Amino acid sequence: MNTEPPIAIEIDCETGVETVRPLTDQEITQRNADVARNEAERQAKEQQDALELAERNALAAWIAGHPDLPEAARNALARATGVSTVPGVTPGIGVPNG
Amino acid sequence: MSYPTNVPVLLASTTLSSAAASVTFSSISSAFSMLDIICVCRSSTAAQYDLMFMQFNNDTAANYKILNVTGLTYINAGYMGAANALASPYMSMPRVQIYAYSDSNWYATTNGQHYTLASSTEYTAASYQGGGVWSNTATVTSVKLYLQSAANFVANSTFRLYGIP
Repeated sequence: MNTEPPIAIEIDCETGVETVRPLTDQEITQRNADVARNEAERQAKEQQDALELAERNALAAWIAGHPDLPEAARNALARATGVSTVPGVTPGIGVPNG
Repeated sequence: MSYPTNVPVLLASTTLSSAAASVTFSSISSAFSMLDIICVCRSSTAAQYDLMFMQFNNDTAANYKILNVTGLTYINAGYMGAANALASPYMSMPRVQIYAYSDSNWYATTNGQHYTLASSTEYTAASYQGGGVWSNTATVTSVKLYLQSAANFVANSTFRLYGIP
């Protein structure tokens, strides 16, 4: 939880005057709601990431346990599921657009 | 107030002396064709990344849209490095242009970009290109910048607002 003082900065473009003020009650309420929502989303994402990692690891183990699998099939399966067939290489993760 | 008609004009600028939850530019002149906001900043949230949100004219209702999402109460203005990213002096520079902000024929529409070197091991670098729409043809007279995480912009973060003729 962030403990820094919640302040807001306002700059009037006509006068150049900068005002520093504490957040209003409404802003604090919204901020607390945002924190709760973000924490729930973070936990959900962590669970999903962990599930997907476990699935990828299981698939990688299955591929490794089938050395007789044709190389083309091995690579296609790996690409389709995001599993790297090269030791130590993790598929890239991007940041979504807005 | 009169402004030059052939060069960008710095309308307001601030560098935070201490952490702040939001930065708002108010009383923005309607004399330009677009606005350009340039930031150099970091977020205090305990994560690799944070997302800067933007609202116009104190409108907190669900009047904003981004790609594939409607009914938002904000527009994404760009990602930025946060507390768990590479430590300062690594920073992020979200930049967002607001088009048709004073043209009642169109909705104000934004386009933003940023680049962040966040970590040497994961998300080594992230770039962002995105935008959004405010479903309102009123002139934008104020812009509020804040963080998705509800954390703070750290001290020494800088925000500049330019008017583009």
